[in-house]
Amino acid sequence: MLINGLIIILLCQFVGELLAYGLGLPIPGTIIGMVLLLLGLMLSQPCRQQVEPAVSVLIRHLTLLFFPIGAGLVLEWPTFAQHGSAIIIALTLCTLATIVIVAVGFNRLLNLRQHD
Amino acid sequence: MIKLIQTPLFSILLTLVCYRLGEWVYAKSRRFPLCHPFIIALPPLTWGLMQAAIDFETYLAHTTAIHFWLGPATVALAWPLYRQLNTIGAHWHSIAAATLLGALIAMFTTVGVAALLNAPTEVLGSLAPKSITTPIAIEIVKHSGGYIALAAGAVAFTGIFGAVVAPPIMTLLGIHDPRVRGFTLGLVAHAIGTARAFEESEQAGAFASLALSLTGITTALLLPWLWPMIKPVLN
Repeated sequence: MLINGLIIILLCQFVGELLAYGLGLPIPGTIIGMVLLLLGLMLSQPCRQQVEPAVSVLIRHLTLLFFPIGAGLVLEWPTFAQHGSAIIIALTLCTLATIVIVAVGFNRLLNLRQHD
Repeated sequence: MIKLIQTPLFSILLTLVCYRLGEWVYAKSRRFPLCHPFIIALPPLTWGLMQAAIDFETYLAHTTAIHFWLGPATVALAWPLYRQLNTIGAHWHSIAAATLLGALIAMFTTVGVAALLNAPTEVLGSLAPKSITTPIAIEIVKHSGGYIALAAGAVAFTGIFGAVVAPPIMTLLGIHDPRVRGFTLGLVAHAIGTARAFEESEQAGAFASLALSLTGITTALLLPWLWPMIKPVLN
């Protein structure tokens, strides 16, 4: 079951990469692969059953998968150090701004529709 | 001995042990965002690598067996999106509008502020996808030519910071609707915010998962097209 799921996922990714490359799209092939898998899940019950074990392993351990790349933040810090304060200020300020705007905006949108 | 330490065997073993430690602490802290495995596991891992004199490039080559699976994990994100399709239901207009608004603001405010503070283009490109889930962010940065390590770090920082500050900010703003609280957490703080939203309620968690997937896809679809247009303006 796990292997079947992995085959389906890798196949979606492969076709996605093929389409991105073949059509010269600037979108990452993995994203096209994700859309292909979504279509598969919507259209086929067997696809859902086969894919579930593989999907849950991959998603449960997402942090482990990006951890080696994340370690580069510390190991490569000298490259970023001179921009350290710009990076932290930009991330902090904009995260706060996004929270306020999205929360207030989505709240308005949902409640507008309720009053229709 | 030195030869044995500078092998994929040692790098992968060290990575798994540190990750397991991080996961354990996170579970013990009842999934408190500041105890996220990324924060807990990073110091022992980098300390170990420095002691073993393994540089980042070598370490990345050693751990290909681990980070190769980021691509398939991105494809696998279709699953949470599929599971939340019926959450969308009648609200799809509001959800689409909020996703687009949120994704654009999260991208451009960060890039704009960092540009005003004179950060170079590669840094800006690495920060642009900070609000979206790491596997997608890394894919995008590979395209826009930023630093993948900085992108992964920016995503982790935003997720942890967002998950800590978003609930009290929304309470201050008088927003108690679990759909809005969940959606905002998922949009701003991706998987870490989603974990936080599930602690508030099942419905908040569902809206967070939905926001996480939609923001990731929207950013992945928009940024590669928009980036070439914005880039000349920034310099």
